[in-house]
Parts: sequence; C-alpha cells; structure tokens
Amino acid sequence: MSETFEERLARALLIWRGSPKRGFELAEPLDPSRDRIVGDPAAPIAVVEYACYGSPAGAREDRALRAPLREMLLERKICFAVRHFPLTDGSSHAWMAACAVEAADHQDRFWDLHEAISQALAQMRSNRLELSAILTLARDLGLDTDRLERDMKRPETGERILRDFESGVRSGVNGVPSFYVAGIRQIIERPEELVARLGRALSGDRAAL
Amino acid sequence: MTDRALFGSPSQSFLPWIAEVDTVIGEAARIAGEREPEAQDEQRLSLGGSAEPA
Repeated sequence: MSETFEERLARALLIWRGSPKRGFELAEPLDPSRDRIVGDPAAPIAVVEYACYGSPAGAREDRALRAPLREMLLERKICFAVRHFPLTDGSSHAWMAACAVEAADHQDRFWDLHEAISQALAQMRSNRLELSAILTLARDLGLDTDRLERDMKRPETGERILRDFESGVRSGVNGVPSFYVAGIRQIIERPEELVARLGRALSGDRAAL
Repeated sequence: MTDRALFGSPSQSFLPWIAEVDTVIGEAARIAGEREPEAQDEQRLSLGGSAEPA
C-alpha cells in the first residue's frame, strides 16, 4: 500500500530528527530540468542551498552570502540552486512560504519572491512570516496574487516541496540553510567560511571542500 | 516589529487551504511522534526508491 503525503512527510521528519546525519553528498545531483538554478548550470562549481522560510537567523545567514555569491555568479564561476527544506515541526508557515515561492515560478518570478521573502524574514523578530505578509510581498512585486493562490493550492506544488525535503534528508541536511558545493555538504560556522572555501575550490583546491 | 503588525490578517479565501495545510503538517508530526520508538532502529527507515538508509 502506498504511503499518504502525511506519512511520507512523517517518515522524512523522523529520519531528519535522527542523528548523527550520515549523508555528506548531494543525494540528488543538480538537474537543470527540475532544479531552480541561477547562472550557467555548466559553471565550474554548483552551489545548492537547502532553505527554509521559517528561520530569520537562517535568512540573515543567507543574506550575508548574497553579495559574494552574486559576484561569483556574474563572473560565471558558479551556478546556484535553491531547494526547499521547510522545517515543519509545530508550524506550517515555512511550508506555506515554500508553496508561495514555488507558485511564483508559474509566473517566472521564483527568484524574485524567494529574494523578497528572504529579505523580509531577515528583518523579522518573530519566526513566522504570515501568509498575508507573503501575499503583500508578491503583490508589491507585481505578481498576480489570484493566480499565485491557485498555484499554491495545486497538489504538484506540495509534492515538489516534499521531494526537495526528502532529497535534503537523504543528503544529510542538518540545519537551515545547508549548502552543498560541488555536491559536498559544507559544515560551516559562519557564512564567510563558505565564501573562503568556494574561493579556494575555484582556485583548484578541491580539498578545501 | 512583527509581521502581523506590518501586514495584518490572512485573507478569507486562503483560510480553508491554511487549515488543510495545518492539518497535513499536524498529522505528519503526529505520525512521526507515534513512530518515534521504531525510529530508534534507524536501519528500518528509508525514503523509498533507491534511497539509502538514513
């Protein structure tokens, strides 16, 4: 008998709660036909972030990386992908935010809403970015919010987020945001460490990863 | 400043969906809680397909 959506999510949550995390490699390689990628997928190094829109601290970490990663992107040294890892224990806010960002992709505005939510979240004191706040951000971006609402409710939207979550669990995601560089999980204390490692890796020192 | 102060309440048209998502997330958490003891044996858990054990 196949599992329900809830059972699949429960299974993934259970595995995620288990410790220690054993996975250190990206279980699902970057797939340009499926992943949300900025930059050239053929760039020398791919950076994959597992992100949760429920963590202001994580969003601030994400923001700190924005400028250096953008520079590397513009220089075509890296490509960058985001996968969803909504931490749902006790709250559905992060899940709903992920639904909104996914739905924005139907209007080719995935990255715009991702950016807006990340920015808003980084300024929050509370952990919760309410749906009304997300819709306001979407409206400010000029998105069709009626269409966004419809697309958020589509089963495929939830399915995609769950798939990302499952792939993160298989890859050993141990917190948000988690970064994989050239397929290898990076355990870092501060955002600058990731930038430094990327710099060394781009200079040919793959042992830096 | 909280997001509520900034943006107010969720719109009415979203309420049924919010409730549905809350139910799904809550149910998943409940199932996970129920299965926590068996999860001690991590070898029994995997995410299906070709996934390796967690």
